[in-house]
Order: sequence, then structure tokens, then C-alpha cells
Amino acid sequence: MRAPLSTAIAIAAGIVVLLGYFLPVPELKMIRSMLIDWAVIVAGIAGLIAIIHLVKVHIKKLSSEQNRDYYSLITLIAFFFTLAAGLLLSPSDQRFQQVVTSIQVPVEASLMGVLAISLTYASIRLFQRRKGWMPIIFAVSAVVFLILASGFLSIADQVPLVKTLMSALNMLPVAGARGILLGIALGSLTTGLRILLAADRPYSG
Amino acid sequence: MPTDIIWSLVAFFLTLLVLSYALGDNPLFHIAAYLFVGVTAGYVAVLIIYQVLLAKLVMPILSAPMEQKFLNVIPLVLGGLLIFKLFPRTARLGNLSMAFLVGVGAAVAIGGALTGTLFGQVRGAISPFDLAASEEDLFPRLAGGVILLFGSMTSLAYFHFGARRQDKENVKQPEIVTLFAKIGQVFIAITLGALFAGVMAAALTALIERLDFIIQFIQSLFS
Amino acid sequence: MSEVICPYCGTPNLPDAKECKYCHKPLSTRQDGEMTPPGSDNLDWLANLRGADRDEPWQGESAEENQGSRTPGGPEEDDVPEWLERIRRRSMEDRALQEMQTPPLEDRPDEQSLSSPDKEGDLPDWLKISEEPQPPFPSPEESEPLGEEIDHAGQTAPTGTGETPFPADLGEFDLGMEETSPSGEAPDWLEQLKAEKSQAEFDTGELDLPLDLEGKETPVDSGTGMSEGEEIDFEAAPEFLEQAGIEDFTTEFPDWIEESTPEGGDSDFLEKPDKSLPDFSATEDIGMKEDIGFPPVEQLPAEAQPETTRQTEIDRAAAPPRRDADIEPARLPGWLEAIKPIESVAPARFSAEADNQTESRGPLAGFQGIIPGSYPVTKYPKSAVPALKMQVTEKQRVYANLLENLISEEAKPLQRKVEKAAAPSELLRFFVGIALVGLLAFMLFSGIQLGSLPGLYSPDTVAFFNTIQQFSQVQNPPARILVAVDYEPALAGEMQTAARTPLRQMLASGGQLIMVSTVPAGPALGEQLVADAATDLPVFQPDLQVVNLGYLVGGSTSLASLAAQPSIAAPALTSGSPAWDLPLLQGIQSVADFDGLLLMTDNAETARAWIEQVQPSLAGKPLLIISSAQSAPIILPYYQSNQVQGMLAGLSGSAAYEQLAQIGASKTSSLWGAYQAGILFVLGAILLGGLVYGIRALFHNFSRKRA
Repeated sequence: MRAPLSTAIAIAAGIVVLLGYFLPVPELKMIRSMLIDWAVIVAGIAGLIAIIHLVKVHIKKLSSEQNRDYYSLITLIAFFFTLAAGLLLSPSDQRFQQVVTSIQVPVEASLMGVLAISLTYASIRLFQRRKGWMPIIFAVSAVVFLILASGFLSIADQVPLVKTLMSALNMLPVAGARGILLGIALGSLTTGLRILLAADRPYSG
Repeated sequence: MPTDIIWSLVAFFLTLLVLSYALGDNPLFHIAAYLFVGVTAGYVAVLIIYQVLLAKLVMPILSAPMEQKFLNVIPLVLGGLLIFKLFPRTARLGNLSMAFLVGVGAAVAIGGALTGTLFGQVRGAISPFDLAASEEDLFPRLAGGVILLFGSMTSLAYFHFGARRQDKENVKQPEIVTLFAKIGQVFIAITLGALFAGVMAAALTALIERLDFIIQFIQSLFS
Repeated sequence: MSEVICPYCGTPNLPDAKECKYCHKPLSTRQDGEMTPPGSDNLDWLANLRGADRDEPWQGESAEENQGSRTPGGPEEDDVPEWLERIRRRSMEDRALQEMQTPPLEDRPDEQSLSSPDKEGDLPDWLKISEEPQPPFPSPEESEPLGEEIDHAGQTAPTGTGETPFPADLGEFDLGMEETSPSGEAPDWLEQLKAEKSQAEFDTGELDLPLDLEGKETPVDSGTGMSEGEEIDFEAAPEFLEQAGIEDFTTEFPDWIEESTPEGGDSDFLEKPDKSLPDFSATEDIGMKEDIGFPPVEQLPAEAQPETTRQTEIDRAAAPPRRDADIEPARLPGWLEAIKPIESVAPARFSAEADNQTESRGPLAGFQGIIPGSYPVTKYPKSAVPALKMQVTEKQRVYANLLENLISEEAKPLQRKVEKAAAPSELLRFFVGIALVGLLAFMLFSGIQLGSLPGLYSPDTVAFFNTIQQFSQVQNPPARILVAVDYEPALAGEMQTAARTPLRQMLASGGQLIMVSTVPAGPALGEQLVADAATDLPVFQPDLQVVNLGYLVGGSTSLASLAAQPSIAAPALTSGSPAWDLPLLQGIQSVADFDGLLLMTDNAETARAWIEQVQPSLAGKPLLIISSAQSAPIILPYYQSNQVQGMLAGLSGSAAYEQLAQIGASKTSSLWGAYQAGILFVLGAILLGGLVYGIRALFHNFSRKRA
């Protein structure tokens, strides 16, 4: 077996945590809580290492002789400036939180705005080169739920039929969404069990 | 100049830089994107240092009793092993920590999927047929329950890829599963259409909010 | 002679080797240690030297024939060996035999088959030339002076045959011979040829069939075109031999000539010494330059005659007597030696050098005169002669071009077929973007409302509103709500707009908010949200009503930790100071100790994680969700299954909530007009696009059916 120690750790930790979900044993729950807390700490350190790796990559890109990426300089300056400011001020400082509200929010929200333009353009071609009934159902569904989201039907709020129709229409996506959720849950279950049974060892790479 | 105005100016220009991408890829957009990556990475690093390393690792070790200190050394060691992942030659040493993370994560996913989604959604699917519940609107509730249950089953059948071997060469799904999968496609298409409409509405709202910010900022400059 | 150089590949071979050790082609050695390829090949390179173009073969061949046959300055002139005499004697015997046995030309199937066009391609060059009707060898009196130009590839050269009766074009001649003969409509020149043939037949009693075609031992030098009609006077020794003082020469063939004669018969020049021709070595440039006219040697003054001719004669006369009279070394005539192709690849000096060379490396180091190893290879100079030009017909050339095109086409990468777009996508996208942004900006700036806020409320919104109302009604102590700020900055505008009113209501009622986040930007966004919601709220006490537990690292795992023990999962505030000593968090041991959970998320996965990990631990406490419109359809089943007690989705949900709460002017209402206009714009785009593409598809189908 490849990486037996790692596999043993993964299986042991996983089984203890899983048993803690279902067995009402206080000791087991305590151990489970402790293991999960350790995992959170390790995940935090992993995140920090990922950031160090990101910085390393940008330093490499900046110092590359052939394909030097001068934009990486912006990233590095922004990173070190933010890090220094955060360490000095602490995350709870209002001035430091402006990093999020005045830089992250405008950039990300504007990207969503660009996405709106792209989706509008894509909407024009929604019916283009589509064969079969499914794309038509998809497009019709999109149109119907856009109308529902626009609130224009609320004009006819006194008409009982409209209210019933809206309720029925609102429930229609639930069936498909429930099927999707169940599929995701079953997939998670299968994947998790494969890891706990050592059929998959994504950590041994 | 007040600090708020400076930050508003920064936000205003960043908004313009990113929106310029609607005209095509350009260096201004690249500047905004690279700046965003650097700032986000720095911000997350600060958060982790404060909220994980200091709050969960350093402080307990410094202040907790001896047994607690010993227990806190374990995640420290596991985290320290992850540092070896930075170097290709020693990356294998970090596999222990990754195995621990994956094992706990898998167990959490299994437990959550079972208790949160599978049990909950199955219960939700059969709840309309609970005759002990109030008899108010019984027929619409039952009709809705039937549609939802049927839609959920057929949607789930669409994700079922198992098949039986008919003979040496033919592998075929049972006809009932094929029929259910086709019906499930309709429900999934409706759901995806609703999702598209939702994404469209959310993106539109974001664009409107940004345009509103720009208009208000310009108005504030002139007022 | 220490070794023999293969004329084909240049590999040195042992002196007694019969064939090349490398290419296994036969080696026909000469006395001087050089080789000549077998007869047919000899004729190939001779033909090439005469001119690559075969369009003018007869002039060239006749010229060469004369020159070759009349070469006076060959070594044979000085010392005709006895094998030569034997050849002549056998030839005479054979000829006499043939005169009795040979049927007329028409009756000989072998020759007919050989001369047929179908077989032509299979024949070696020398045989092809031999089978061509040879003009009778002209007598010296009839022959034109050598000043005639040889026409190679349209150029002229001395012919030596006088006024040739054949057309210049070989191909035409060949065809003419084959096609016109049966019909009996022979052209004049052919008639003349026939007349000459008849005369030759009359003289010799047979056609000018090359002897080797009949399996006779003595070959006819097809290269020179000597036919059987050309009788050689075997009785008398040639003049050049007499001049050289050589009387004793044998007619026995040496070994090398025994091997080579059946194939090529390249020693025929020995049989036809002709002093009227200059030494061909002096005219070696003819083949190269192809355009040199020679005056006949007889017409030249003695001092103008080729120097080599006279010099060779002198040299031969002054040559020392042979050491071995029995084995007369055969020598190439000067003209042949000068133009032999081996010179271009294997210099003569190599042999001598190799003889004296001492092996310097390998297991034979120190030995002298051994077969050289890698040394000879490095000694070969670059070919001085340009590569032989391949003789291809026009048809072959067409096929070759076709093949080349096919191969080159195969090597080319396939061009992707670019589908023609209805409109240039970039331009269309640009105009769509401009139109949308312009419309929204106009609606925001003008404040125009297309319709009122929604008057119909979905059940989840109503349930959400009712639950918030319940929270607001809890007093003494006020409700402690765990608020999860789990949305990304991208949708902060939508989320803040939707969450502002419910939060404001709770804060206004004295509710306490304990904020956590699994998104890094969450803590800052939470602070901003609360600050926005509490704007102008007189009763709001930030330190007593709001606690920010910050960022939970690890996604689902951290949520599982939070569900199990909140104090361990989020032990500190965002500032790093301990959180659970605060009065606001007193008595909280688990998430079930909170009065409810308000989740604000834009991501269905995040919502699923909260529902899976935390909701089971809430012990019946309400879980409310404020979601973005994009994740609402996936979260809705959790509401339907009663795992979520209320939901507010997007700007429309917020508008509905404000209608329920009877809030007047708000952020939502200011954005509502633009939002509705944007939705209308998108609906119009979808319908317009569908209409255009539908009509196009309709016309396309119609035209296709018509076609």
C-alpha cells in the first residue's frame, strides 16, 4: 500500500469524527471536537502556506528573464502593504477594513457588472443553434423566472389566478433543485466513503 | 481631504478600471486585477495570523494548562509539516497533514450530507403526504407534493448512470430509468432556467449598485 | 594496386574482390587500379556526359561513336593485347556463323521484342541504344569533318558522321521508327537509313545487329554505336600499334575483361582504332560544356591537333616494356579515363596514400598498408560533378508534382472552419454593453419607476418576515441572533440592500447580533452592513448589540466545529482579543443557545454547508436565509423541507419584504426602477434574439426544402 501512515491517519481521524456524529458518547464527541479543531488550525496554516506560495510565484514571475510579468510587482506591493497595515492595525480596525470595502468590493462588484453585460449579450443568442426540447425549456424557464423576478406580475396581485400561478411556478424549480441536492449529497457520501475506505487517497500525491 | 473621500476615489477609479473590460481586455483592467489579488492575499494572511495562529495556536499554548499545551502542539506539528509542501523535494512530508485534513473533511462531508441533506430532503419530499398535518389546502398540498416527489425522483434518475449488461456486448439502462431520466431532464432544465434568471438578476443588481455608486460619487463631487 | 575503389559507393575493396563489400555491386577492375562500372552503366554516364537531354541522341551518339571508335591515342594503339586479337578472331568466326544462320531481321522475335516500345523501359540504356537503328558506319571518305557540332539538349557538337540523316529529336525518331515502319510510310531520312542498312546488309550479309544481342561473346560497343556492319580489319595490326612498336599482343581476355565484356562491352573501342579521331581525352570538355565545336582532326594542323593525342603516342612509345607479357594490363583510353566518374569521388592519389598509410588507431594500429578504416571516408572530397539529372517524362513529372502536392497538403494543419456569426460579436457585445449601461444609468439618474414594488409575496418571504418580527418582539433579554455574513464582495450591493431592513428592525428592537463568517471578507462586510443598517438609528449601541467573531477558517469543518463548540471555533474577536468573556456571549455553550441563525449568503454551497453542519444543532431554533437571487432556486428546497424557516432572495425579495414591513423610501426602491428596466432589457434581448434566429432558421429550412 502506498503511504500507509498517511492512509492510517486519514482513516482513523475520519472514522472518529464520523462516529461522533451519530454516537451520543460524550468522550467521543469531545475527541471529535478536538480533531475538528485541529483540522481547522491545520487548514488555516495551509491557507497561509498557499498565500506564501502565491507570493513566491509572483516573485518568480517578476524575476523571470524571459517572460517577466511587471504586473506581479503590483500584486507584491499590494500584498506587502496590506500585510503590514493589517499587522499594525489589526483586522478590526476600520481603516484596515477599507481594504475590503474600497478595493475588494468595487473590483468584484464591477466584475459582476461586466458579467451582467456578457449575460445580456449571451441572452441574445440563447436560441441560436440549439436543437431539441431541453434548450427550449431552459430558455422558456429563464424568461418566465425573469418575469417573476421583475415583479411586473405584482400589478395583477388582486387576480387570484395569478397568485396561484406564481405559487405553482415558484415551486417548479424545487423539484429539479431537490434532485440536484440529493445528487450532490450522494456524491459527497460516496466520495467521503471512498476516502475513508482508502479507495481514494488524494493526500498521497 | 478626508479619508473617506480618498477611499471613495480609489473605489471609483477601480470601478472604472474593471468596467473598462466591457470594451475589451486592456492594461487598466490588468492593473485592477493584480492589485485585487495582492490586497486580498494580504488581507487573508492578516486574518489567518490573527484568527488562527494567534487565537487558536499561540495563545492556548502560552496560556493553557500543560495538558492543553501538549494537545496544542499536535496541530502545530501538523501545520509545520505543511511547510514542507513548499519545496518539491520535501513535499511528501506534508502528506501526513494533508491526510489528516482530508480524513476529517471526508467525515464531516459524510455526516453533513446524511443528516443535513439526505435525511432532510427525503423528509421534505414526503412531508406533503403527512395526513396528520392540517387539512387546510389538502388537495393543493398533495398535488404539489406529488409533483415535487416525482420531479425529485426523475431528476435523481437523470444522475443515475448505472446499467445492466444485457448480453456480452449490450449494456443498457432499464427502460423505466431511461424514461425517468428523460422526464427528469425537463425538471432540471426548468431549474437551470430559474438559476440563469437568478444569476442574471444578481449580476444586474451588482451593475446597478456600481452605477449608483458612480452617480452618487459624481454628485457628491459637485455638491 | 592495393585496393579497388567501388565506382558506386567509393568503398575501398580488396584487389581481388569481385564485388563491392559495401554495396555488393560488381567491381570490374582495370590495370591501374581503378574501376569502371559494368557496361550498361558506363553507357549511362557516357550518355550523361554527352548530354542529359536525350532529345538529340543521334547526333551526339554518332559523334561519340565516331570519336570513340576513331580514338587513336589509346593505349591499344601501342600495345594491342592478345586478348584483343582473340576477340577479333572470335568475332570473325561468329560473324561467319551468323551469315549462315541469322534470319532476316523481321523474322527474329528477340530483336522485335527488344525494339518494341513496351519493352523499352525494361532495357538497360546500352541495350536501348544498341537496338536503335544504327546508321552504317561511314567510311572515312564519307564522314564529315569533326568540326560538326554535337547537339546536346539543343546545342551542337561535332558528329563526325557527316550529314546525319536523322532528325534531331530522339523521341520523335523512336516513335517514328516504331510507328511509321509498319505503315510503310517512312520519311525520307528513314528511307535513306533503310537504303544504307540494305547496303550494310549487302556488305556483311546481315543487319547491323549488335553481336551481344545474339549472345555472342564479343560485345559491340553500344556506346560508340559500332554496328556489325562496320568491319574491322583484324588481319592487320592497327596503325597505332605498329607505331608503338608493339607486335606481340594476345587475343586472350584478361579476367577483368571477361567479367565486364558481356555486360557492357566497353572495350569495343579497342576494336575500332581510328586515327582520324583525336584522343577523346582532349575533348572531355565536350561532354561538360556541351557546346564546343571541333574541327576534324585531319583538317587540323599538326600543331593544332590535341596535344594529348600526340603526347600519348609519345608516351606509349617511350613506355617501358611490360613486365608480364602474358597478362597484358588493360587500360582505359585516355578520353575514357579522363571522364570516368570515379575521378569525381575517388581521387587517384587516395590509393597511393592508402598504401603507405600506417594505421594509427584501433586494434591494427601500427600496421601499414592495411585496409583503411575511417580514413578514406574523410578523404573523399565533395563531388565535383553535379548530381545526375533524373530523366523523367512529362507524365512522371506530373505524377511527382501531384504526389508532392498531396504530401504537402497532408502536412498542412487543418483549417478550422470558422462559423460565420450573425454579427461581429465584439461589436455587438460593445453595443449591448453601452445600451445596457446607458439605460440603467438613465433610470438611476432620473429615478423613473416602471412599476410599483411587488404586491405579491412568496411564502418564504412571508415566513422570513414573520420570523424577524418574532425576533424583534423578544425582549428581556433581547434576542441573540447568530448572523453569518457569508457573501462575497461581488454581491455586496445586492446582499446589503436585501439585509439592511431586517437587520435594522432587529437592531431597533434591541436585538443582539453575533457575527461570524466563513468568507475572508465577511468580517469587514459585516461591520459595514451593521453600520449601514444602524445609520440614524438612535437606540443602537454597537458595543452591546454587535459582536464580530470574525473569520472561520476551514469551510464545512469550521462550521462543524462551530456547531459543536462555538467558543472553540471562534475564540476571539477580529481584533484578536478573547470574545467569550464579553457579556453579550455569556451563557452561550452551543449554537442552540442562540435565538436564531440568520445566514446571509450568495452561494448555494455555503448555504448547504450551514444547513448540513449547523442547522441540526440549532435544536429547532429558526434558521433564516438572506440569499442572492442566483442561489435562491437551490436553497428553496431547504425551505420547502422546513429546514429553513424563511428566506429573502435578492432585490425582489427585499422589495417584497419592504412592502410587507411597510417601509417607505429606501435603497431598494431607489434601485427598483433600474432593476426592472434591466430585466426588461434582458427579456427583450432574449425575445429579439429568439425571433431573429427563429426567422433565420425558418428561412433556412424553407430554402433547404426548396433546394
